[in-house]
Formats: sequence, structure tokens, C-alpha cells
Amino acid sequence: MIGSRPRQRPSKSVRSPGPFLHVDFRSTRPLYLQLCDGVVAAIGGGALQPGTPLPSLRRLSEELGVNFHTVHRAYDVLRQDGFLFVDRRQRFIVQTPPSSTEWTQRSWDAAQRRLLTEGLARGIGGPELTRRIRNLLRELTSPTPGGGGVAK
Amino acid sequence: MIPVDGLTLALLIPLPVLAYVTWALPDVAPTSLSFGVRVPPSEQEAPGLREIRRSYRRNWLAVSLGLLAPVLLLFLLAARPENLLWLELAVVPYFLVYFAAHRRVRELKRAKRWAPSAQAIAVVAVGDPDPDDGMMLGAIAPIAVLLATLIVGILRYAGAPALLPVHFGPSGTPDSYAPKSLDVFFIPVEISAFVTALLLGLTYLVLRAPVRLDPSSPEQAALRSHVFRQRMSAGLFGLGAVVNLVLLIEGLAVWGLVTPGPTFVAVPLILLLGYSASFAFVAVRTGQMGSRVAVGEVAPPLASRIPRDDDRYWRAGVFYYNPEDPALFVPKRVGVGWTLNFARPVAWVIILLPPLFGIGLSLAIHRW
Repeated sequence: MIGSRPRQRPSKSVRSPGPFLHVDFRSTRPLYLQLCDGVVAAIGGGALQPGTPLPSLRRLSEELGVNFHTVHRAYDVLRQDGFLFVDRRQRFIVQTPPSSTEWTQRSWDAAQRRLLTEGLARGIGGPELTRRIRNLLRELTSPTPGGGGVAK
Repeated sequence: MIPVDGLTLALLIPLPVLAYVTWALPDVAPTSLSFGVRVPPSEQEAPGLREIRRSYRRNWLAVSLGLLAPVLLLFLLAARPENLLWLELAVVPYFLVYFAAHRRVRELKRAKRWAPSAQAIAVVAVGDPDPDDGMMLGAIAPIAVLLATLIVGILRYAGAPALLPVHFGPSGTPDSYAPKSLDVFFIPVEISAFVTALLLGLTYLVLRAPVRLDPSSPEQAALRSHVFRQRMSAGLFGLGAVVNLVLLIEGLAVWGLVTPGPTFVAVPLILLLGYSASFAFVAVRTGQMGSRVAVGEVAPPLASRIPRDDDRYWRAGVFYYNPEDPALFVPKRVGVGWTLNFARPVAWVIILLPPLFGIGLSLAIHRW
């Protein structure tokens, strides 16, 4: 019996479920930051278009089984960073952040610097780093099914 | 042997339904669960789990043949419809068979230490914030029957006899009457309206309950759960329509439009039990959260991503108590549908509401 599942014909009236966010409970990265990473990755990869409303705080926290405040914190950070705005119906809407201000550029540069220096410290040379960055960029900008939050 | 009437037959329907549902239990579970215990999907076909499933089916057969067949025969020989209500106790041996399998899987899991390096992932789809808009449209069915009952009642009110039968014995003959008044006359409509409101509320909650997608293949899981919700909401609205139809038939008897007899008692029961049986059949074929719905290979499953191990929050794999989980409804681990998170106080209100309503209703009817 087990081997025979599934048995039914595919249903026709289904929509594409859209991009997915994941959180990894075994990861050391805080859950709210994992959620932020996922939303930013989905916006960057084009899976979440500007103007798309995100699920409500309640739905996201119930579906993931994480605390309401964790999701709220993630949405709030994303709002402060300019990736989301709150509309009149209190929904969180995706937007392209207003083009990089001096502050966001500085903090982005700092994050970049932190990652690259760690790579160098681990003995990954310059050409290898460049190759990896190029590959990663290609992977992130090509739309793959389920390509969204990569929580690691 | 006493001739078996429709009522007795109707009361026997739950037994084969129970047997069918318990037989199908291992098949309806998603691949990350085995008898209410989290297991890595890749281990489902491991010899240990296969053997537990086989032994579950063997015990099931023993219970069905060794215990229920004689009991059934006994009840048929002493066919008093009221006695058949004791058949509900048949749930107990089937639960014990399940529980034995549950414990064996738990022991196996402890011994094997499955998938220590896998990621414990929870997934949510974010592209479609309100995926179930439109499913509430099915509410038209129970509302239509409710309106029909109301219209028949209004048209009949003037012509109805002055003394209304308000209670019927097992054979269908009225054994209690009340003088005609608006209150008494419209009891069937009131109950029908209450049932409709209750089922509408329940379906609304069910459509918003989390589905907890399988992280190893979220695309398939999302498509399946969509089909599952469609069938569940349609099934609940269908149930509402059938219950309202039964209340319409009761109304016809109370209002003197049909003469009650044994058939009059049997028809509503056959309707209700027949519908529940078909609902159970569809639920089993659909699988928990649509686990048996074929959606095609969207993407190969990722064995390195498994759901979080939440066994410790599930007592006996059946009762869920997790204060850290914000959800009130969560997908069941055994069987099909949702269950309550008993760490939420509202869960207790929901559990206690129907019995309180039943007591209130019977008090109200006795007052009349």
C-alpha cells in the first residue's frame, strides 16, 4: 500500500505557490535574521516583485511555528532597511529600497569587507574569491523554483 | 434472527468506516511521519519501519476479526438500536493497536539516531498571501438549504396544527407535544441556522490553519495542501448542507407535512452516516495535507532538509501541547485534518463549547 502512493490524477486548478522562505532551527544564525536573508534574497533574485504583499505576521509565525515577535522583528528590520513598507491596511509590501544612501552603502561595504577578509584569512586566494562571487551572483539572479531564502 | 431495519443498518455504518480509516492510517501520513513519530522521509522504506507497518496491519486484522466480528453478531442478534451506540467503544482496541506501533517507531528512532546532520527546516510560501480566497463560496450550499427550511416554515405556519409534535421515539412516533408558538415552530430553523454558523466559522478557521509544508519538497507540498484545503472546505460545507437537509426533514415532521414512521428515523441517519463515510473515503484518498495527491515531479526532494523534531510536544503522537507554538490549529500527526494546540487557552474553550451547547439545548427543549 505504501509503495502505491500517490494514486490520484493531478489536480488542474492549482496556482504556482510562489517563492518560499525557510528557517533552519539548527543554524546558529538568529531566526529573524534568517527571515530577513530570505526576503532580501527573494527580492534580489526577482522572485518577489515590488508591490507584492507579504503574508501577515500571524500567518507567517503560525506556518513556521516561530514566535510572533520573531517575525515582527524581521519585518521591522526589513522595513527600516527599505525593503518593505506598510500600507493603509497594515500589510507589509515589498519595494525596491530607495537607491542606496550613503549609510546603506557604507554598511553594505562593511559586510562585504567582513566576508572577503574572512575568505582571505581562510587562505582562499583572490582569483578563487572572484570566481566564487561570480558563480554565486549567477545562481542568485537566475530564477530557480523555490529560489528564495537560503538559510545557512 | 430479528429482521434488521434501516435504523439498525445505519447505526452499523460507523464500524466499517472505523475499520477502513484505521487500516489506511499508515498510508495517509506524510513521508516525514510514521505512526505519529518524526522520521526522515528517506527512512520510510527501511526494513525496521516496514516491519512495524506490517505488524500494525496484522494486529488490525486480529482486532477486526477476533473482537469486532463476534461483537457485531451479538448486537445483530439482540438488535436494539440504542444498544448499537456501544459500538463506539470499538475505537479503544484500534487505538491500542496504533499505540503499540507508535511506541515501536519511537524506540526504533532512539536506537537508530536518524539524520543527525540534516537541517531542521520550516518553510512558508510568501508569493501568494491569501491562497484560499474563493473557497468560502461553498457556503452557498448549506445556506440554500437553510433558506429553503425557513421559507417552508413561513408558508406553513398559518396552516399547521395547534399541537406540534416536538419529540419522536425510536420508532418515529411522536411522544411529546407542545402548543404552537413562534418559538416552538421555528426550532428546526434555529438549530439549522446555528449549525450553519458553526460550520462556516469552523471552515473559516480551517482555511486559515497552517499546513506546515514539507521542507524537503515545498513546491509539491504547497500544491498538495491547496487541493487538500479545497476538498476539506467543500466537505465541511457539504456536511452543513446534509445536516440542514436532515433538519428540514425534521421540520416537515414537526409542521405536520409528513407522517413520521420508521423510515423517517432511518433516512436522516442514513444521510448523515452515508455522507460521513464518503467524506472519510475522500479524506483517506487525499491523504494528510494532500500527501497522496499526485502533483508531478516539480523538483526532486532534498533529503538534507527535514522538519524540526517536535516529538516531545506530542503526547502519544496524538495530543499537541506546545506553549512556544503560536498556532491554535496544527496539522494532525495521525489521521487527516487539524488538531488543537492545547497550550492555547482558546483550545479548551473550543473543546468545551459543543458539550455545553448540547446541555443547554436539551435544557431548553425540556423547558418547552
